[in-house]
Amino acid sequence: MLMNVLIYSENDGGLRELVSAAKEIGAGSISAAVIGNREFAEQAKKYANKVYFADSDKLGEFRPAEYAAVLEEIVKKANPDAVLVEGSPKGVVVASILAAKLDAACVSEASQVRADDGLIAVRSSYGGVAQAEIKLKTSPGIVCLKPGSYPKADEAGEGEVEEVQVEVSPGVEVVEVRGKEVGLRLEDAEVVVVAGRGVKKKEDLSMLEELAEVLGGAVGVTRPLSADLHWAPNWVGMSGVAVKPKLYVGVGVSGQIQHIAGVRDSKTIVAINSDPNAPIFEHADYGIIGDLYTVVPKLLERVKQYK
Amino acid sequence: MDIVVCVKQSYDVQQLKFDPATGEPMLAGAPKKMSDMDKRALEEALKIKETAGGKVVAVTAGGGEVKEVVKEIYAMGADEVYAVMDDALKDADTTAIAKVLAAAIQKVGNYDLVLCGAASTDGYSWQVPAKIAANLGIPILPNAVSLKVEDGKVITESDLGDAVYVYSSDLPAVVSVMLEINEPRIPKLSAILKASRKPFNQLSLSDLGVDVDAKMEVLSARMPKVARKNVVFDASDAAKVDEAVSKLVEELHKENLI
Repeated sequence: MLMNVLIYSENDGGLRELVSAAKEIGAGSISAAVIGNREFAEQAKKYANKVYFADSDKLGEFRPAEYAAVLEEIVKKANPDAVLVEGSPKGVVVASILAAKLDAACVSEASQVRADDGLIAVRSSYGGVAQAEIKLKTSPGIVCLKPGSYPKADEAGEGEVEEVQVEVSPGVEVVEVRGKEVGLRLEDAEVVVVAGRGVKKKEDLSMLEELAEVLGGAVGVTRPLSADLHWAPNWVGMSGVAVKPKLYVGVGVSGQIQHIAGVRDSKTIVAINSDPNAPIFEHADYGIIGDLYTVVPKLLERVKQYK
Repeated sequence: MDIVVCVKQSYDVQQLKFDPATGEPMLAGAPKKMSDMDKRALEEALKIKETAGGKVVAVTAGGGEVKEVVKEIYAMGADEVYAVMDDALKDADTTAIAKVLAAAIQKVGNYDLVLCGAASTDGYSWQVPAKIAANLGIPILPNAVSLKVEDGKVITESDLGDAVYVYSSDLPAVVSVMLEINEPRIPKLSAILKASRKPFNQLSLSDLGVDVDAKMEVLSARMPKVARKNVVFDASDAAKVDEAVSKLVEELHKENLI
């Protein structure tokens, strides 16, 4: 059965990922919901058969209940079998309200969606250590897909834009919007070098920073180094940052499942640890059993020769 | 200022074990604790009460034993606890739990503010607070990293990923809080001892008249296995470091990683 799919994301990349996901579940037609941004509605036409666009002076800045009310109105018009939402903080809060209003199934933190007599979504569970397959038993079913879960679809043509009029209540007031200063975020780095308990002093992180720089990436730490020793504000792993770089290098990282949960999607995993029984070797493509204080300087020297 | 705080008793995922053969979580007897962000919500409520007065009431809902979490809630300083205990909640999804909590909040009666952790330690759906707000028909101010109440309004700095939104809303409203909002107090031993003797209000699903039909079904939950090459070079002897590192770098070069 061809599905009628409604997608919602506030940005181009997110929208194109949702288009790929919609195709994955056999979308017969794809509609996009765009709120408060006319330029983006025009952009969305290139990917969707139809764009439902709502605008008013009350929709200029993101407000959860108001945006959800608009989406609810659009759902009524589009009558989709599936609603795919970018799993950003804004997307999830809007999807949650929508789900409560429609009494619909809603899966967040999803990385995959497929159609099999209804929708089935794969999401992380138990803090990210496990993955769960969840069947959505309502139509529409709502799935919030984590950014980066699907490739960005190419332009597909020229859909039409339908304007939607929605009366929204006053609700919360947006006092101010402050953009966040984000440098190279660990979750966006192509190479991630992670320091574990085997690293003895905070100063020794500079050695790993140099390695990361030569490899073109960034340095993170494991939970104990962040939560207990305060060497860094956040850690790589469960309830911290999840990364999926092309190359992950764990230095003195033992490889507890809670850490592995946050690095599992890395393309290639390299581990350096003096303990041959460290669990990380089971999760590694390449490992070196040895003292990181002799291995890392040598590694740095060799990698530089290739650059 | 009367505040209701929603608290979940979560699996302590830092300690959760998985069956090595099946990859499934070993839930029987697994340790549980108050969800991390909910603890911040309770702390925030207690701080507001310290300056504005009023009452802090906690509500919790679940399928299993809640005594431990109730004790922890009282030890931190909550005035009352309402616990919805029903086996039917064991497999309840977020939509159902939000309905139950919203109904329990209405049962509590007067409230100016509802505080929740933005996501739970084990479930991490980020959905329940907004669903509670939708069920109560009041605004949600999500993902607060700071919160203040002044002149009958609640004002949050809400971290929504790409930007921080400063929201202001009339009361009552639901605010969900992030880990960064505060450092929760550690209860004194005397408070812990007293807490175990305090009674709590038990509610059943029939008291609340809520339908908890699941809209979702968990087909499987397990630790995924990712196939890895598991090539290990031995450099435990200092003399072998050069060779081991050279081999590693060669492999990484072949894979276009350096």
